[in-house]
Amino acid sequence: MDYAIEINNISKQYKGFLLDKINLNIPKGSIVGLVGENGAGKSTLINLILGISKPTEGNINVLDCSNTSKEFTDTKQNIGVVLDSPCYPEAINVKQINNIMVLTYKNWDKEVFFEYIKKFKLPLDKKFKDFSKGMQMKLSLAVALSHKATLLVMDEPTSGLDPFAREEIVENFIDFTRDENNTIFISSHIISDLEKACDYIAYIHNGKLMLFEEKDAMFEKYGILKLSKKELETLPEDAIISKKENNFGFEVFVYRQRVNRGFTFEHASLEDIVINCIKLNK
Amino acid sequence: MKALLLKDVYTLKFNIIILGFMLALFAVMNPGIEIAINYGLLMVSIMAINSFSHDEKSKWNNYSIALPYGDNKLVLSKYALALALIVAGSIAHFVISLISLTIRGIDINLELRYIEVAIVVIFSIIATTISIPIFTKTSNEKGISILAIMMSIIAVAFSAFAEKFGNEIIEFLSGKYFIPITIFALAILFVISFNISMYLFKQRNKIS
Repeated sequence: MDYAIEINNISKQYKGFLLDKINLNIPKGSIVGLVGENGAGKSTLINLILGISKPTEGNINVLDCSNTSKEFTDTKQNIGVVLDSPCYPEAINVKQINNIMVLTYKNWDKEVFFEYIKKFKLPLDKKFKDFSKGMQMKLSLAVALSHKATLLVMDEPTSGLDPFAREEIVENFIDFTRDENNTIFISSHIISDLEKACDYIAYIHNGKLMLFEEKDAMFEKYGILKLSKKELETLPEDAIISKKENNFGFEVFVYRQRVNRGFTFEHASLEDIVINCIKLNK
Repeated sequence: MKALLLKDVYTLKFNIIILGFMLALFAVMNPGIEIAINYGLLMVSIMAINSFSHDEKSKWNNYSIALPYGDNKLVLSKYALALALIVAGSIAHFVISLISLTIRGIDINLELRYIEVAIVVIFSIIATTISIPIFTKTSNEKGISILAIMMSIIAVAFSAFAEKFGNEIIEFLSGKYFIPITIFALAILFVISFNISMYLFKQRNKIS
């Protein structure tokens, strides 16, 4: 399998925080969602991938190029970046950003950029500082999508956006990966956004990678059962991940394959799966 | 690098216009404003450090590393911006001085005007080579304090030096070796400053 990003044994030590020996390979042509609580290490990992910060140990290859090599500057021509906070100078407007990016990216496509600007209904002459958070994110996304990148690396691109804006942005991610050479690595704590778009989910907790699985495999692996107390007693102990008592009995989050036949599973959402994995790790 | 310079020009456009307006105003003011014009040129020249504060505020610092510029160009662009501002400021200073003298009916002594501009340019370049490494390393408030202290030390040292060797300095300024020696010394200063900035830039990313 070809990988767009290969993260090998990467560690980063800060005062009071350790991103601990992460190994993660992102297959080309996929959308991989990185989830985790605030402070789990998502942004740190994204900064390490992009070369914004340097690892304490380990190495990262992005699009078959080491991100510490000189050649990585050229490789960045093929990477679209959206960071978690606004990153353009306050005084500049959309037209000026286009002028800067024409000189930045060899494959900058002015027409595609202004198509996105039109699609996202962004004003051309308004200063960046006067944009709402949603407009700022859309502008960052328009830039990331307008230079024929084959890899998008995005840190919380949907945070702070209203549901309509999030839906619109997620649709653009899906459009982007219609080309099977294109890959997206996206961090978010809005798990429902990832459920719509992602092929794989990586879950990071306290600087450790706890889980990296295909989304569909996760749905096959985990399920929810609604049971009476009597039915609950028949379940094998090792099948139960968590249980919650309510007025009608118990809602039990289980490993599907460890449960005896005869039970009817309810669909566990990605959010259910991630939250229960967090509980399991706590 | 053109992209980075263009970004800084867009960012500093407002500051440049305001300062240009102030310099123009000085030109038509009463006698004794030469110091203000010289100060204005110095301000134009060290305006490059303002771009650091804009970069930090907008988090462009991090974003620009993820774009295809390379560390060298990110650092070099700040020096290029400073030099461009010094050139633009010198021309503006020269023109404004001439206008000012003409309006006030004072004899235009071109040689004196050249020396005046040259001295401020030298100071501006020294200020640039000191300020860029400082602002590459540290945050703005801290950077401004460190820069103020360093410039004060240089000013005091220069005054003491000028007091002791005043006549020799005037002889040197009018001598034939002044221009090549000064250019050589400033070039060396620039190379040293650039290398320090590169080192500090890499260190900053290592610990971030």
